[in-house]
Order: sequence, then structure tokens, then C-alpha cells
Amino acid sequence: MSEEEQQIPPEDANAPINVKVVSATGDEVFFKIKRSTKLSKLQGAYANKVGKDVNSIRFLYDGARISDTDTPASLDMEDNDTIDVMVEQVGGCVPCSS
Amino acid sequence: MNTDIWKTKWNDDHIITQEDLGRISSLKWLNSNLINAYVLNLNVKFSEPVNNRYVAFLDTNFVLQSKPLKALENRFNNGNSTLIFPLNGGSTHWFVGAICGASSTIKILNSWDGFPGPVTYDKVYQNLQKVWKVLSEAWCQESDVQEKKWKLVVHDGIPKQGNSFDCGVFAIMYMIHFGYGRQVNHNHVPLLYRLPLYLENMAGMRLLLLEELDLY
Repeated sequence: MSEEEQQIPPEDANAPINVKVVSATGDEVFFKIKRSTKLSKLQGAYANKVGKDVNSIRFLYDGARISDTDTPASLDMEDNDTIDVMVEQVGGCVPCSS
Repeated sequence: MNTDIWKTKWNDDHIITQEDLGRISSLKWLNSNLINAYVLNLNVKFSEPVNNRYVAFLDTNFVLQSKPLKALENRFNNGNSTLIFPLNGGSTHWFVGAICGASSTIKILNSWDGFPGPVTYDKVYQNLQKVWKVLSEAWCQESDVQEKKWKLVVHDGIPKQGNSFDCGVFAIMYMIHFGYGRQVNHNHVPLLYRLPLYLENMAGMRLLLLEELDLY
């Protein structure tokens, strides 16, 4: 095997992927993120971009909530995958609303 | 490791935070994350038909084509199932909607009279019909199942909340009851979950629900 062949890197497992974040109203925001980067970073960036408190929104991948420690690699995400965003709802009853 | 996070023994994917726990143990308003945790729990609890009834619980975020929704397809039972939805009005109030395929009725169970009110009920009625159409077209080929004529039933005479913060607890209890039978406090509902008409010990009910989460 030549020296040149030995220097060819294996497929980069940490190559960035494109992720689309879609709100309940269909608005889309695109991110490029490394597969090893925690998705909490993306969540914070998205919340910042749309001007919401990150604790008031929930991020779902394939219908399941994304945790702070998840990464694209841990969720087996692929290039151009979609993350859904849901606004947290609360309820008790009307007279308490203010 | 974030110690602020808990998981349930019956579903590793669903995360409960310390803030969520504070809501349920401190007589606060419940949030959608908690409500959805019970939806997941009920889908496990009622994974097999009870008294020949197939039921499926859909969370507040259900996404068509998602794995969690596809996992419920085998409960559709050719349109003879009951699909149960926690609903939220104006981010202030939880109540429950159900599509009962066998009786062609759309049911609403609400713990607070006067809210959300007839206008919202009508919207729920319209929207749940649309949901049925989409799901039945995906899960069933029968045109008479897809084109059912529905009747709206708003349940009267059910136990109601007597305070300003327990609608989420009532919504969960209504969903549990609907898993066992077609009515709240049906004979098939285990005594543990029965709701008296006038409730005083809601803290105890919250404790029961906390135990059901089975956190670790």
C-alpha cells in the first residue's frame, strides 16, 4: 500500500449535517451542525432566533422529545432531517389566568 | 450528567424535569410534557384491548408519519377504536376529546363548566373529524369508515374540579377512565382511579399520578 493511500481519511463520521427546524405553523429554520454537537446548542440558537425562552418550547425528532444531551449521532440523524418544534402548553383553569 | 432530568421505567425516551415534578407535586398547573408522559403511559397500559375495546391515546404533539403514531395503527381495528386526545384551550385549560369509532360519536369531557365553551367545542368537533379522516385514510381502506357521520356529545354529570389548578389532573383521570370504559366511573374502572363527584383530596390524586410515572 502506498503512503498516499494510507493518508486517505476514513469517511468523516463527524461531518456537519443540515437540519431543518419546523414550527407548528410551518416556519422553517435551517442549521448546519456537527454530528457530535449536542442538540441543546441548536435548541438555544433556535430559541434565540425566534425570540422565545428555550424552556417554553419542545423539540421533537421523529415524534420523540430531544433531550439536552442528545446529538445528531446519538439519534442517528441524517443529512436534511427535520426537527419539529412545539410550544409548551399549560393549564389549570380560567380564573387563575392572568 | 444533568441531575435535573428523570426518566420513566416504561419509556426511556420521555424526559421529566425537576420543573415538571414541581408542577405535579405542588398543586401547580400541569404542562404538556407531563400530560404527554401520561399519554405514553396509557398507551403502554392499554396496549391490549380491555373489555374488547381498542383505545389509543394521541399526545399534544402528534405528528403524522412519526414512529409513535405509526405504533398505534394496529389499534385502529378497522375504525372500531376509541382515539383519545388531551386538548388545551388558550394555554390555560386542559380537557379531553375522544373519537369513538364504534358509536360514531365525538365526545368532550371538561372539568370546568363554561370554558372553553360552545364555540371551542364546535372547533374541536370539526378538527377531530378532520383527524379521523386523515388517520382512517392512512389506516383503513373502507370508505364508510372514512366518511362516517359524527355526533357531538359533551359529557354531563362527571366529576368536576373544585379549584383553579387541577384541570390537568382531571384530564388525565378522564383519559384513564376512557381506557377502561365508555364512561367516567364505569364499573370497569378500578377503585383506585374512581373519581367521587365532589373532590377534596386532590393532593392525594396527584400523588397517585406521581407514582404512576415510575421515575428513576
